[in-house]
Amino acid sequence: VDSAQYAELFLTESREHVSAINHSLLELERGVGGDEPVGAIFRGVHTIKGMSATMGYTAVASLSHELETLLDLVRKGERTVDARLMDLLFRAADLLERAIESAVSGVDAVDVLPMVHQLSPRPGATRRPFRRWR
Amino acid sequence: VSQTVLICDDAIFMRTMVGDILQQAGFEIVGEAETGVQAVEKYKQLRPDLVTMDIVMPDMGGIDAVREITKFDPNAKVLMCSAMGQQALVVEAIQAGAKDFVVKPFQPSRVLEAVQRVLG
Repeated sequence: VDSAQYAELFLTESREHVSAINHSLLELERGVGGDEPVGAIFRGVHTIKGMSATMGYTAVASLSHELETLLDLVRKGERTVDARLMDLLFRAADLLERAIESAVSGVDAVDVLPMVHQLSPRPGATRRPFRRWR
Repeated sequence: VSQTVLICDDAIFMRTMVGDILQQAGFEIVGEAETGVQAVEKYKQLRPDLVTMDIVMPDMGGIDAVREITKFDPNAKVLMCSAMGQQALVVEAIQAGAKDFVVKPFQPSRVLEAVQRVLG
């Protein structure tokens, strides 16, 4: 499969998902919509993860993978939604957007590692680079 | 006569990619679904030879969709498309009636091998 022909599709669809994620983050922060905002954010991040991994955009795949793992904990009620978490999620979404634009433009200059480490509470995650997608 | 496929995934990107892989291998894409509910509806309407099914979708997820499709047609041939780290969900999907699975990111050869196993 020629990846180049999919880049435009990836960009368009990822932008839509980032926009929906930000919308749902605001809902989550306001505490409206019950479980739906977290579910919607999870699905958006999950889709971006699958697409970026397919494109070989490692930084985007790595960031969305860690974000998805954290959101899964929130979804299961194992991580409480507080101001600190919201701040982390907003910053992660912002970085995700920049990483997407950067990856598609071929520069890939956005450093996602500090955020990946912040998102991952697991010991050892910092020592395990994101290789398994390749 | 080429075998018919229904592709279920909420991402256009993924539907396009799976569609391209299967079309190049001689399959006919007869339908696409963006949600689990659509997947079940379109299966009943189109009766395709093969279904590719994403796990995480809005409305109804892929696993519930497989369950509904298998209830309607016990011989339905559904191939699950999962992401890394979804092993538990894959097991659930197989129990729900899916015949096999492929893991994203897709490699055309892996997809086609799995399709052959499902249709074999």
